Amino acid sequence: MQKINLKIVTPERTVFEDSVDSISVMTEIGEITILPNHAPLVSLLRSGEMRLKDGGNESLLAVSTGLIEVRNENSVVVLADSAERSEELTLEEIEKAKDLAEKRLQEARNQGDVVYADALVHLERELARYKVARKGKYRDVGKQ
Amino acid sequence: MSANAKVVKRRIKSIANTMKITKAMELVAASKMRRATSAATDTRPFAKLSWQTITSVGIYAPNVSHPLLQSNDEAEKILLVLFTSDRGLAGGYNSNMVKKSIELLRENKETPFDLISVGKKGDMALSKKKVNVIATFEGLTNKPVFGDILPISKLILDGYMNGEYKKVVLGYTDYISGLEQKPRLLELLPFSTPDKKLGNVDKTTNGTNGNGKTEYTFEPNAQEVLNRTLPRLIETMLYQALLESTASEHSARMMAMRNASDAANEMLEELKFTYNRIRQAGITQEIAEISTGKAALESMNN
Repeated sequence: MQKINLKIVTPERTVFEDSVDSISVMTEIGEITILPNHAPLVSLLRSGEMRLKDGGNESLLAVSTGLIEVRNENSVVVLADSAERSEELTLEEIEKAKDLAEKRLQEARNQGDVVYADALVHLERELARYKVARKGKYRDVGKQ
Repeated sequence: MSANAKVVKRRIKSIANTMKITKAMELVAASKMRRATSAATDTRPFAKLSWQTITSVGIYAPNVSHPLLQSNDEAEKILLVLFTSDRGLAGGYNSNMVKKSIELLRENKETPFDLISVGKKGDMALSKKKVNVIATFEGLTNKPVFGDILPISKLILDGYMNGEYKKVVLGYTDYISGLEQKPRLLELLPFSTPDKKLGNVDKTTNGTNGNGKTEYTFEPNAQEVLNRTLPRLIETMLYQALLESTASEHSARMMAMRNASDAANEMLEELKFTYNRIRQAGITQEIAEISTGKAALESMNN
């Protein structure tokens, strides 16, 4: 069976580089799933979770805004501002970060549109990380 | 001991002290360099892939436009963004970069230049020339993070999109290896010349199958993709330039400090030799004096 060569890179590092069976990700206009032999596509990403399936394994990543490019010959490139695997996330820290982001949003409410939009994007990213971290955690519990 | 020996001894001491400092600086630079080079090489894939995506947008959606893709023909000024270090003692690192940018100034004698200096040294060197320094950023090269370059890119983008500049040029030092760093000038804007390289970035597009028959789909649309990615690309390129320069700075400083330590070592050896010779000469002379004294006494007694 054909596989997709996936590469996830952020300005800081290459987060993921391997072959997978399918990729599900949130884009600006909705969630999409990419399977092998997908037509070439460039799409903008929203902060959210990204699910990768490889055989029976499913892995989760928290991805923030960026873009996904599907190229010929089953190669897919994700350029994101930040991306983390669920194993790398610790729930406690993210809960703190999420609370902080919510507080910032409250404060930003009366500070003009730009600040507010900034805070909103920030919160969206933290929420995505939170979701991925929680799912990752419960999955670990099930395994034990 | 003669006064001469004292002078030599003092000199030995002072050189040994200097050597301690250069050794320490070498070690500090080495550890910083390791971090900086890995950061620079880790960012290269992102910069490279961003380029590829932009090029494919350019190829497959040729009729979209963006202010950053247009050239500002009426504008006169050139904006130079110069990456140097805050501190000296980095061998030829700063002077090479400054020399390169002065060449650029000479080639464009008639054009007024604006300068954004990242690092104090560039500002200090070029403010004597006929350039208008609009901003200096300090303290970025210690431990660069992506957020650091956002104010710089905002300055550049605003300036360019307001039609103030006809060109934006990046002056940075490319990190090739621990021993080799190359100062480079890169035309960042307008985007019409995508074949200039930053780091190991090249413009090969894997999206084509050679004859350009593949059709790309853009979501939501090509314009939107371009609007989002172009500023991002500028930021990435600035970040990459900053990282390359940082890596170069620290390796240049490490090499300079190693050379200094080696030179100090050589000097110490020579001085120790001289000191020993003076000491030996002193002892010989003393012995001669004693034995002549004794001989004189003996001849008096006889």
